[in-house]
Formats: sequence, C-alpha cells, structure tokens
Amino acid sequence: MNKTLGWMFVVLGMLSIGTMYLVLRSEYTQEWKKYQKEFELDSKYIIGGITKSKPKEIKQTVLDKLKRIDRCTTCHLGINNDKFECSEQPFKSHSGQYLVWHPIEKYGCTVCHEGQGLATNYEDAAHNQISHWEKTMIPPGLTQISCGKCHLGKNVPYASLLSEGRKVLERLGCYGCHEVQRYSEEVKPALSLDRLGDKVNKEWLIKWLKNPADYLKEAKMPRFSLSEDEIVALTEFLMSSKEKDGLSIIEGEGDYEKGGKLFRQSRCISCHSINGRGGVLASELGNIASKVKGKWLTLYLRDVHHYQPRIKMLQYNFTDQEILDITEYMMEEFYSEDEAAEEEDTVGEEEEDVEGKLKEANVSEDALKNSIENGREIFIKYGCFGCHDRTDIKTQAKVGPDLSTIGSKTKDQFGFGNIKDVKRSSENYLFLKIKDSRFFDDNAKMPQYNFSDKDMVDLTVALLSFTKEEIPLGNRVIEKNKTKFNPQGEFGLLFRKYSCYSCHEVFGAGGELSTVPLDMTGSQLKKKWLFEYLKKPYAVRTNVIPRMPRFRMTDEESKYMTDYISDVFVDDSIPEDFEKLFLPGDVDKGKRLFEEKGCISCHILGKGGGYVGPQLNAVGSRLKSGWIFKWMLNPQLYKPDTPEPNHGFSEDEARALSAYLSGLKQVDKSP
Amino acid sequence: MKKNIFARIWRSVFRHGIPDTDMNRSLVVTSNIFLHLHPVKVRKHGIKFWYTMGFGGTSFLLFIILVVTGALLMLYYTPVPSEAYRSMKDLNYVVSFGEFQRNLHRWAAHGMVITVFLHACRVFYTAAYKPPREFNWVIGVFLLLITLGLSFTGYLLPWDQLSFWAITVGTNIVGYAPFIGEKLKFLLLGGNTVGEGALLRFYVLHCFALPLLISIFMAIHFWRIRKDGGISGPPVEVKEVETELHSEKPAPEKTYGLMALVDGESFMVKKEPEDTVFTWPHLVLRELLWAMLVINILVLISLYFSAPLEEMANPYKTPNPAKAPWYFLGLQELVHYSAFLGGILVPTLAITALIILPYIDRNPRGEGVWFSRERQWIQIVFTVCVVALIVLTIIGVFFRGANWSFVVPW
Repeated sequence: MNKTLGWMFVVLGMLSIGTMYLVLRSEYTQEWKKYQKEFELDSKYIIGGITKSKPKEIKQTVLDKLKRIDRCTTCHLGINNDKFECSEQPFKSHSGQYLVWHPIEKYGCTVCHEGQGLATNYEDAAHNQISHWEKTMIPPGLTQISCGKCHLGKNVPYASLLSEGRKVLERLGCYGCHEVQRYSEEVKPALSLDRLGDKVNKEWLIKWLKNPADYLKEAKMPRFSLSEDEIVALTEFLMSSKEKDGLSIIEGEGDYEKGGKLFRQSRCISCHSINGRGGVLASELGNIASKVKGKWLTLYLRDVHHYQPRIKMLQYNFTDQEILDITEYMMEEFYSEDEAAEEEDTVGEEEEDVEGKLKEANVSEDALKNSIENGREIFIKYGCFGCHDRTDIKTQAKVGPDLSTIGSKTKDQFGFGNIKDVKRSSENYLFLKIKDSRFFDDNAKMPQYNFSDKDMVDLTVALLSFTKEEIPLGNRVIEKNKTKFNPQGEFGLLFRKYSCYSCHEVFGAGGELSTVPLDMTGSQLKKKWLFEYLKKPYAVRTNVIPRMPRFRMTDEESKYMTDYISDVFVDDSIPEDFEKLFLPGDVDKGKRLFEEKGCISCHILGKGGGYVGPQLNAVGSRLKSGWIFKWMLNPQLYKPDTPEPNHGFSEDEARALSAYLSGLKQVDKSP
Repeated sequence: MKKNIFARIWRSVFRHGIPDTDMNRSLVVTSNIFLHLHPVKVRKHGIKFWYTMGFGGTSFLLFIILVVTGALLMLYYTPVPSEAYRSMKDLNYVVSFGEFQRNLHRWAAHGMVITVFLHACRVFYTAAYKPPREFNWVIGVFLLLITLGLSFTGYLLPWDQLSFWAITVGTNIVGYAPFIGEKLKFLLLGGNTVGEGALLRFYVLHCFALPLLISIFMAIHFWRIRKDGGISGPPVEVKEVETELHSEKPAPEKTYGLMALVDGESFMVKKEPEDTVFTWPHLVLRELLWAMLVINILVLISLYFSAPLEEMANPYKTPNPAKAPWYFLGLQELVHYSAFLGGILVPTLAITALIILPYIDRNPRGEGVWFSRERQWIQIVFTVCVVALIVLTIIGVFFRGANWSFVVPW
C-alpha cells in the first residue's frame, strides 16, 4: 500500500471529524436556543424561586383563519408577562393593553406587526428589510397601519394616526381622483363648476388656479402647477359656463346697516368663517368680495340649491330687499384691503403675462373657441371632474391609480424612479409622494397639497391600511351601516331646503355640528315650543353660543315641520301624556329632591344657578313630562356622554321630579 | 466458548479472512454485494486518478447522497401548493438539521449535473465509447438526460418564485416542439400552467418515477462496464514472447471458466500479470478517500451556503427576467434568438448526435488516451459544441438582466 494514500486517509479522517463537529455546532448553537437559555436565567431573578429547567422548544401560534403561523414567542418569551416590562428585547413585555384586547392565541403577532412569523432568528424574522420576504416588520410608530385591516370604520380606538388619516383622506377627497373601494359611494368632495362664469371674477380665478393657497391659506384645493398657457385655457373654459338665458337681476339698492344686522341674525358664522374665525362647515367669507360677483350673490341667496344642488347650505327665506341688503353688506365688508393692496404690488411681470395671454386668447372668436377647447382637455387631463361637477363633461374615469389595496403593494411595485438616496419602503414612498407630488416624477399629474407634517404621516398610515388581505368576517370591525334618512313629500322638501342634515344627526347618519340628534325630538319637545323655536331659534343652554340659523320660516312651514317631527321622530320608550300619572304631593317631593341633589349648581332656575346644563325657568313649556321622567331615571341611556349625573332615582322619585319640572312654565305673555 | 460464538457470527457475515492474501483479497470483492461491482483485479491504468478523475464514481456517490437526503426531506414535505412553501420554511426554521439537509440535497443535485456532464466529456476525450462500449455510451446519454430531468423536477418542489418561474420558462421551451410540444407540456404540467397538478406530477416524477428509471439505467451502465471489459484504456500490446510462453497451455479454456463465455476478449486475456492490481485495497482505498473528500467539501458548502428560497410562488407577479434552471439557460439564451432554434433544433440535434456518435465515429484509434492526436477533427467539433454550451450558459446565468437585456454582473 502506498504511504501517501495512508497519510491522505489520516488527513481526510480528521477533516471529517472537524466537519461533523461544525454540523453539530451549527444545530445546537441556534439563536433561539441561546435566547431561551438566557430567559431562563432572567426568569430566576425576575419571577423568583427556582424555575425548573425547561426543554428548549419552538413556540408557535397557528392561526387557521388568518392563515399565519407565528413563532415570534420562541424568543419574545416575556411578551405576555408584565413582570418583564423593564427587560431588554427580546424578553420585554408588550406595551399597553393590546394583548388583552387581542390575545396572542387568537391573533398572533404578524397580523399587526408583519415580518416573517415563520422564522426563528432575528434576521429572517424581517425585523429589518430582507430579500425574498415582502412584508418587513412595520416600524414601531406606524403599527396602526395594521389596525385598519380589521377596523374598517372611520374612528379606530387607540389609533389616532389612522383615524386622523382617514379623516384627512375624506376631507380632501382623495377618492375624487383615486379609486378607493371604501369610499366608492361618497359624493364628489368639491362644488359644482356649472355656471362658474356668472359667479367669479376672472382675475380671481387665474390667481386661484395658480395657487389656491394664495387666496386662502387653508384651501382644500391643491396646487396643480399648471403652465401659464394651461391656466389661460382652463380659465376660458371654466368661465365659458354661464346661465343659458342670461342672469335675471334683482333690481334695487341694498342697505349696508340692515344687511349687517341680517347677516348676524341669520347666524351665518355658525358654518362660515371670516378670516379664520367662525364655523368650519362652509367656505371662508373673509375675502369673498374679491372672488364672487355681487349680482351672482343675490341670485345665489335667492335660490341656493339651483346653483349648488349638493351643497350643505340651507335656503333662507329672505325677501328680495333683504337679499340686496345682505349682499351689499358682504360685498362691502368682506373685501380685504390688505390683500387688494398686496395684489396690486404683486401684479408684476408674471401676472401681466397671464393677462396678456388672456387678451391674446380673446382677440378673435376662433381663438377663444380654441382656448376653451384646450381648457376642456386640460380639465379632463387633470381629472378636475373627479372633485367638481360640470354637467357637460361626461367622462368619469378616475385619473389617479387605484388605492384600494395600496397597502399590499411591495416596495418594488412603487415607482421610485431614479431617486437613489431615499430608503426604499412603501411607507417612505407614500410619505414623500404626499409631501411632494413630483418628488419621483417631474411630470406627475398629481397636484401639490399643503399638508402639515402630521397630516402626511396620518395619511400615509391610512393609505397603507388598505390591503388585499382577506380578513375573516368575524374579525372585521365595521361601523353600523348608516342609511341616510331621506324623507319624501312636503316634509322632505323642507328638510332639504333647510338642510337639517348638514348639522343634525338623524337615525345614526348626518352632520356632526349639532349636539342634538333629531331621532326622538318628537317625544322630547312640546309641539308649541318647537313651533316657536323653529321660527326663532335660541340657545337652550346659557353658556352656548346659539348656532341654529334663523331661517325666517313661515308659520305654515314651521307648523308642518312641528307636526311631522312630533309624529315621526318619536321613541316608544318615552311615555306620552305622562302628566296623568302624577300623584298629589309629587310636586313638593320633586321640589325637595331638586334642592337636595343640588341641581341648581348646574342649572339656572329663577335668577341664579350654574351654567353647565340648560336653564330650567320654563322647562315645563319646553319638555314633555314623559321625557323628563325617563331622563331622570338614566340620562346616559339616551346620551352616553352627557355630564348629567345618574343619581339612581327610583321611579317614584323620577316621577316627582318630572311633576315638579313640568310645572315650571313660561308665563304666557301673548294674548 | 464465547470467543467461538463471536467468531461464528463474524464468519456468518464475512466469509473470508483478513484480506492480506491474494485469495482473501479476491474473496472480499466477490463475496461483498457492494464491492462485487468491481472486478477482483483492475488494470493499473484504470485506477490512475488523472485518467478518469473519478467523475463517474462521484456522480454515483452524489446520487446516493441525494437518495438519502431526499428520503429525509420527504418526511417533511407536502406536495400541495399551499403547504409546499411552508414545509420549506419549516425545514429552514424548525426541523433539526433541516436546512442542512436541504442544502446538501440542493448542492449535491447541482454537483451531480456537473459531474455527469464532465464524465461524459471525459469519456469522449478518452474515446472510451469505442467498441465494445458503444451501447454503454448510449445508456450514459440517457443517464445524463434523466439526471437533468431529476434536477428539473426537483426544482419546482420548493414552490417559491424562483422555482415557479424557472419551471414555467422550462416547460414553455418544451412547448415549442412541433406538433407534440403543447400536448407534451400539458401532459407534464397536468394543465396549461404550472399549478397544483404540475406540483404533484413533478413530485411523483422526482421522488418515484425518475429515481427508479435512473437506478435501472445505472444498473445496466455498471453491468455493461464489467461486461465490456472494465474501465477503458489503451489497447494492451501483446508481447510475442509471453504469448509463446503460455501458448502450450491456453489459459481461457480452463482457468477462467465462465468468463470465457463472454463475447470478445476477456480483459485478463493476453495481459501481463504485472499490468493489474488487486481491487482491494488499491481501488477501494482510492474510492474511499475520494468519497471522503467529496462528502467533506459538500458538507462544508452546505454549512456555509444556503439553498436559495425566494418569496412564495405568485402566478401574478412575474420576475424580470424569469430564468430557467441554470443548466437550461444555454437553451433559453438560444430561445431568446429563436424559439425554433433553442426549443427544437439544437436540443434534438444535440441528443441525436450524442446517441449516434459511437456509431458514426468509425476511427478505431486513440482509445484510452486523453486528447489523442489520432482523432483531432472530431475532438475539435465536440470541443466547439461544449464551449458554445458553456459560454451560452454563462451568458444566461450572469449576463442577462431585465427583459433579457445584456447586463454586466459587477
């Protein structure tokens, strides 16, 4: 036998032993085994006593319905144990009450945090981006993204970013340009542009199209970065829409003083703001005179819903003279001198250019026609119709990409383009895109919004919560399906004319401006009081600014509404004609209780009292006694967040209070 | 007494004594089912490392490793799309030595494709397919094809993006064949696209049908080596003197018994005794050493290089470029120029040429010698083909990026 072969045998034999050792070592020094050993030692100190040495094992949660297997708890061993609150990762316990609401056994970990639940080592679990696993763990601050997978409503508890983001999305109407499945039934977020030519000044429109924020800092409309030619064409196109038969004009002169009084009486600022102060429901009026034409304003006030069928604004019953007065007041009052001056200053070369071009476009009829046609194309190209109605534009295809499942896109599916020095993740893409719509593509059609940093983060979270992931029905948290109350007939006409829905909630849907849902007002309020109130609304609570507008309702209208409300908006749990059940002595007992419980500290009665609750001087004329009785029994049953304390009155006591309060009536002054 | 029992048990298993005599050395080989694949004595020329470089043996060794690791992997694998990928993850993260087993299987499989190919090249360059070994060459060609089939079918099983799209591309190449192409593809996939049916079919082919087939062909291949006179080598020069010495008592008739029935010359006939050595220990020891080396290298590779596993297969997300398994990238490169060229013409021609090669190469010279100058032209043709294949494959693997455009890998 050859000696060399012998030596080779020895060497290879030793090599074999070495590799065998390496194989065994790789198996027995796995990361998770190390952590389990460490945890055992930690437990001895933290939990105390002698913990029995447990065999090293992989721990996993198998979630059939959610189609996941999570092995995170193999290393995150203290996740469910408060005693490990101060430990270092991976043993630290979970923050907050989240695991109480969503127990690990039922929800696992990756449903909320993403990452690779199957993995049993730090790197492969995708704590950070890894290749070949799409779902990297969501950065800790943004975990709320996942809440949105199951919580489909607008308000998600303990997820402020998500809830706020969804509000931003709704407020700005992203669904105008983008398909967003959950918002597919929303109406267009902005006003109709029909007959705009009658409404606004051309100069204002040019300025507005250039940058809406120049006119109004909080403008909802974004900046489209249009070229001057585009602005000219678009202006011509928008201004081309006018009333077919020409404007009929209300003749006469208005009175500034009377108009001002009327403006205040009508409580316009419940909804409108003036230089940033006032309501948030409707448009800013501070500089309205530079925007709209006086003529148009008179006609608009006379027939609001003709000009804007979907607007929240109500129709006041003004006389023609009153309209002239109020218009006079507004056109006079709401013209910002500063801005006008500023405007003159900034009419530099640039604006002159536009003006010049505008003139150019107007030289001949053909040129004008051409310009209008170009404007129409621009209108369609930028998808203006997504937010604004314009009857002669038929196309309704959304111009932006579908956002319904944007959260399921992987980072490679976002068009980062040639931008190199940014972190490539889906959340980063969306954030940057929202921040600067042309960050990734200089020719992007998406307009530039004027977001605060917080809005941008919120919106990013809200968008990423739209995923493809199929969540089992039982796990979806859906807000009650609110069907809009849509009365028909005479009441229906009044209901829409006075836009009750804009402020009041009815049967679970409607506006949020008013704190009074109309659902059972028929059972609560006395007809006579309601009749008068609708004609001349005031604040029931002394410390509240009256916001209900004065409609100038006719007697007939008020009666019609009162009758309908009393018949339809009723709640069977509130007894009618409760007075019949009062016993003798109830009034005295009630008065005693009223004093004992110190109701006066919140309510005004007589000349003194507190300002928290409604004043009670004539409460008997206002409220039905059955309602007072039920309210006294359990106020929170009807209004969960009312500050009215629940005294735990017995039925006898509640009845006595009702009897006492029902007796507090207004002295009827009218003959 | 005790000693006697042990001795008896030992004798019942090993029928021969310690192989320190020629007699026992012969018995070791003939009485052992594994060793009897070898002849008792082999030509010295045949055990020279640089003659065979052990490619054939290495292929067989890798096959054994693949069978063992494959059987272990089957314990955890479920051939259903929803489960297959997860079983890969379980192997990687939960099963003891799971990832190691998978790595061994993966790298051994790639290794086997390479060694079988190199073995074929070795046989060609040493002209070992010359009569009487023509048919064994044909068997070898089939073994090469089955090896590729085994690797290809195994490629799909992890059910990740890599495997899914490699098989999609690979089976599309099959579909280019005229007339039967589409039907063949349908038969292979159990449908028009890679799906549940394809996974099960590939699983059955990979774990049952093809291993059985390759075992049968290997048996024939090994058996024929013995029947065709062992490992090839240059013809033995018959020395006049010695023939004369033995001529009075012609050996074949008495000494070699059954061997005389074999067609053609028995390899021992007319040869000098000095030309051969005993298989035990000369060949067996060399084989053992080589096996140790190969296994050690394979284990080390498997420890430090993980088998790839991408995202789960997603029929709606095509990677760009989608590449076939690397050994078919030469073909894919050709398909890129012309589907007919890469899908039909070249593979058909290549396989046909390989099969008929020993029958058209009538040149009897050059056997047993590397790069014999006596068969220059055929070697040039073959080398051109091999180099072309390698270059195309390298281009396909490293130099092709999105949309199959030329990219530089660094």
